[in-house]
Amino acid sequence: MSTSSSSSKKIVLKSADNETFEIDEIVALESQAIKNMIEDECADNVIPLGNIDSKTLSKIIEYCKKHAESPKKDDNADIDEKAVEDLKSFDAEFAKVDMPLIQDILMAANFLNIDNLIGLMCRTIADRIKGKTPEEIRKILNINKNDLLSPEQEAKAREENSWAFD
Amino acid sequence: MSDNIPVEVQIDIVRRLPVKRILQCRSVSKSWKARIDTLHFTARCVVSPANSSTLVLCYRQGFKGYISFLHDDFSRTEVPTNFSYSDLKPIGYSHGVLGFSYGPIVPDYMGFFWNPPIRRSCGTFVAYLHNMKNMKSGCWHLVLLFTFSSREWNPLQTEFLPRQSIRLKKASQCVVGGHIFWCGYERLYGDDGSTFKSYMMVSFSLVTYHFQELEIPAELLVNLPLPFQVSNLRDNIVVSRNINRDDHFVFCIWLLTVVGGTIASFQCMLNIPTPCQLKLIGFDGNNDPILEFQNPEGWVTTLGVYKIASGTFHNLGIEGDAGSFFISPYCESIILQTHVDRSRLSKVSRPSFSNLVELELTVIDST
Repeated sequence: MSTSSSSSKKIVLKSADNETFEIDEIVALESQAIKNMIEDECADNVIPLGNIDSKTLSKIIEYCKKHAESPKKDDNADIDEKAVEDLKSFDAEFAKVDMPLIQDILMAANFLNIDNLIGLMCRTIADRIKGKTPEEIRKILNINKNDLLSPEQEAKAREENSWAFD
Repeated sequence: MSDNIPVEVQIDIVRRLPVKRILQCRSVSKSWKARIDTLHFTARCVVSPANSSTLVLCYRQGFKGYISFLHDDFSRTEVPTNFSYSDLKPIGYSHGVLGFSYGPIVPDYMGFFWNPPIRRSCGTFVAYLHNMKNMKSGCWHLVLLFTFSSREWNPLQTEFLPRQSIRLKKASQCVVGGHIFWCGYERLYGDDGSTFKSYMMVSFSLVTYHFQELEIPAELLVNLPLPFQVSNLRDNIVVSRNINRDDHFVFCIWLLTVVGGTIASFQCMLNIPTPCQLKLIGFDGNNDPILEFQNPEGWVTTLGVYKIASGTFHNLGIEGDAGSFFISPYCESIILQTHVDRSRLSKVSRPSFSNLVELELTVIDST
């Protein structure tokens, strides 16, 4: 039985579909939003996350666990390369999920304010929409129909950089 | 979760796309277009293409100008342009934008800015002052500053300028940490009435618009060939020049670090013995210096890389006019995106100041 984890403080997160997740406080602190709640002492034993479903939340916890365990960059100037590589390949594997889940994770990460995860998800989406047309991008990201440019405005926007559409 | 990714986060995704894709994204939605076209977004999206140390190389040969990408393996590909490069003189680069001067062949001197990956260029005329030619260069009566946001030339307040007696060597400059750096000097008189030049560095802050003198530490000054050429290796200021020995030259390269307006540290990077004079043009991906070699006849020069590890020269086989080579790192940005290509940014205005003596066209304030 390990001494450190057994004695560490636990935090309980509750998803929108009422599933509870008990995690070490250190893992929860990866979220700047939860960290602020804990510091301001406005966190109860159970933190309800009414807009994050259990599937998304378990992915987020998986990510936070891994990153909380890994040595931080600013802790030590010469962290071993292996740990960095290990985290990189974890991130790459982590991002191999379908687009709807990636978007859910991104929104949740944005809500929970987990900087690295926001960056990872943004990069992943950017990679996947890189070869898409504006029309396809609208569909993928579910852009509001009321926000579309008029045909004239769109023609003008294209005209201004016509070479980019070749 | 329901709903959409908040627009700010969507834009965080767009920011990570290649510039060509970003420009396409302007037609995705009104919110995207409005945000992409802001200065804030433009400033945040400057990237170097991953895993590449591609450079942009400009040079002239006879009456013809050449601009090409110089890749890691020193192969070249032409940079597509829709203008003639022959009459443009490179001045500097910043945030993926190259700055050139054009003229003074015509009465109006032009500053010309070009962002190659998004194929945008634009120019701004500088009022050309006819009495300039007759004056000894370097009196600080007036410095004009142009910004893309104002699209105007505005004179700097006198209290921002360096002392009247200070002169700048404007042939070379570098931009490091939000400042432009030049070699500067002041002519002083000795006790016996003789004159001598006292050298310094002069900086210009792109944020506060103040000029500042930087004293060169005495230990450095004794070892430094004067006047030196100024360039940069990433965040270090690089000064370099040939020292003339009896039968050969030694080309010296020094690295300087500036902290809080003083030269905090300096270090000799290289001393290269050479039979001919050299000029530092830039550095390749391995931090090896790229140098212009003067051929004995003087006018034509060849470009080469000095391999520090082996102490050998590698001739790149590129010949051009002496002093015409210019290299900048290649990075992508969308600066000038909101400008019409080949547009003129300002009207010719002739400021009605008396004692107009000197104009500066050295500032690229791209953000």
